[in-house]
Amino acid sequence: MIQIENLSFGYSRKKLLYKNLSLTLGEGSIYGLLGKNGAGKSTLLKNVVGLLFPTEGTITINGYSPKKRLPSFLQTIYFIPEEVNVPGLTIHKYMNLFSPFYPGFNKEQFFNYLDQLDIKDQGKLNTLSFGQQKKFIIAFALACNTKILLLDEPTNGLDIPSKIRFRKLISSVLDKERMIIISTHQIRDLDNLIDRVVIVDKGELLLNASITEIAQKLCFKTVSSITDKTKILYTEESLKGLSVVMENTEDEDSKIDLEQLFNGITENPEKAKAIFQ
Amino acid sequence: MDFKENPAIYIQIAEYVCEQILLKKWNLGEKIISIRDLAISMEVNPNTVQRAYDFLQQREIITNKRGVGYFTEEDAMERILSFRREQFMENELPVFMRNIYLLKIDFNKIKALFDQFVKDNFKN
Amino acid sequence: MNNTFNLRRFGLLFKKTLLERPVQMFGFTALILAFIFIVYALAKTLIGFNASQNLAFIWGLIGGSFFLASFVFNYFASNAIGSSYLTLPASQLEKWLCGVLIAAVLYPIIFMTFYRLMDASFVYLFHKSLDPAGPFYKQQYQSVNIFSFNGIIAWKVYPMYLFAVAAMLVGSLYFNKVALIKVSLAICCLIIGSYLLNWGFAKMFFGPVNDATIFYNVTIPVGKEEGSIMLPEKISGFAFNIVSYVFPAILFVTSLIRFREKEF
Repeated sequence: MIQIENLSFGYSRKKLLYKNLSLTLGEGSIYGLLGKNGAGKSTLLKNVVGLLFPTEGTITINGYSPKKRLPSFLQTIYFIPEEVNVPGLTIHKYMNLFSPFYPGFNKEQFFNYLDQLDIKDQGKLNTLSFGQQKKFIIAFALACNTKILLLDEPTNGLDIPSKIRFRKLISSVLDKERMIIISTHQIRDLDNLIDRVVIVDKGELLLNASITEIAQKLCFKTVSSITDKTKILYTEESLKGLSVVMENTEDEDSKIDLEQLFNGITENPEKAKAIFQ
Repeated sequence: MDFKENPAIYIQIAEYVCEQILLKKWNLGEKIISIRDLAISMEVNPNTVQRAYDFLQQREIITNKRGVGYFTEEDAMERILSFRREQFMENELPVFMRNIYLLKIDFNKIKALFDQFVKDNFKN
Repeated sequence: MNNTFNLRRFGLLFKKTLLERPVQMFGFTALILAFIFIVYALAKTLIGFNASQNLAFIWGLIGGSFFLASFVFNYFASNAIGSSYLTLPASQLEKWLCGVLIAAVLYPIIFMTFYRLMDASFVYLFHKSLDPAGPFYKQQYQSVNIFSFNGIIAWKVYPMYLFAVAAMLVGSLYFNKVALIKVSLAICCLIIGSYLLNWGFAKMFFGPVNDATIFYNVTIPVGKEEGSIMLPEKISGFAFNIVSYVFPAILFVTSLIRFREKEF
């Protein structure tokens, strides 16, 4: 479990990216961390893994404090940044040098994942294309079997077939003891994988809810005209009329559109807060 | 007039399962695909598939045999039809009727077209 | 498993550090040694044997360690490399120790072994080239000896090398990019600044001053000659130790503290 309490952080003392952010994340889910460019999604992940230290507030992960960077903590978490780096080693050499640090590493799974992501053994890793390097790191990270996986824009740089393989792989590794947090603005790439949505904007937490909860509180549909403006969180024109995101007063069970949800929540945070109260 | 874009994903998954049974791709009383495998093939969160299966269990369309997997109930057919009818009435029918009205199609002609359709596609 | 230090894990980390960038690690070292060899061989004919021995030793030990120290912590030029380095499940002490061991212990051992072999070979060749029957044979023979690692020059070099390595380690943890250049510039500024400061103080205390070498003595004009003011022996020894050993030790500890606090 990740417990973030009253987190304040900024790269410079004057400009704080986060002010008093509190958030709890639990195992067994795939979290979608959504936010605009520069909102600080990567920064939040880096605070969670201990690359950055909170200016104020605390982060506790299963009893550990990330900024202490204890090996027994680092063994339980793997962070894949948006841009990966691989040394000039072959797959086997890399595995031999790096995997011993992760007691949960499974060699068979590693080669299975490499196969699923279509990575072939072709000499030094740094000769692979960016997308291939990224997939390699993803395969390695998953094979380390850490409890917590932080992925920063994982589908960036992957071609369409790779995105499909990626989704299938992520779906297959989720279990009750694992937590996967995917920070992204390519919402469509991960649409149905996410079962809990976290939205941050302007240093604040705007939403932390399961898709079940969201479907209970909000309704996503197309209308020809709007009768009750007070219930509307977001509208946009579509081919069939007006797509709306509105308060779900009639207990309808509609499919969530994450992009519209994101737009609605970030454009109308007060209304969103009221609905989710 | 309001249109729901689509029903929730877990409902869509439940409908998919029912569809396989209706089309006789999956037989009654037999084991169906595991939650994990279905999640992988559909690229969906396994928790969502779990929710779909729980929903189908509640409706007594499928049942969970501990340690073995999920099986369709022998007498599920009527319940499947009832569930799909509900969905159809709520989602697809209103759209259909709206279009008939707007396009000024004679409803009586529909019956004739329907009979022809069944003859062409389902009776051999 | 101990969270601060575990021998097995440290061994794995050491192996990983050496082998993940083999070309840089071993190539760099080989390049430095080759360079020193060339310097020694050339300088021998230009400025004489003894001078070239000193030169090669100074450049090799101080310069080589300095370069390697700029390299052991240079994971922070890129986002991805720095992230993966800091999140690797080894303790911060182990990671720091690994860097220190390579730059401040392993390299000097390798260098000094190489130097001894090279030096001994050149000296032997020189001795062999002399004519035993010649008139100045004895003087010539005794003018060139194997450089002593326990000699005056060597012991002046050791503190400088400690300082250089420690400063570079600290510097590479503050400057993420082109640390080598920045730290070199910083050290130059420090030396020039200290010299000026020292000169300033000396002038305040002693009036006109000819020269004020940092920490050791002050030369003032006495009539037409020069007089040298030196520290009393006990204080001189004490000051020497502080500067030579305590100061680098502080820098080493600073580098560990800085490592723990490094955000990226």
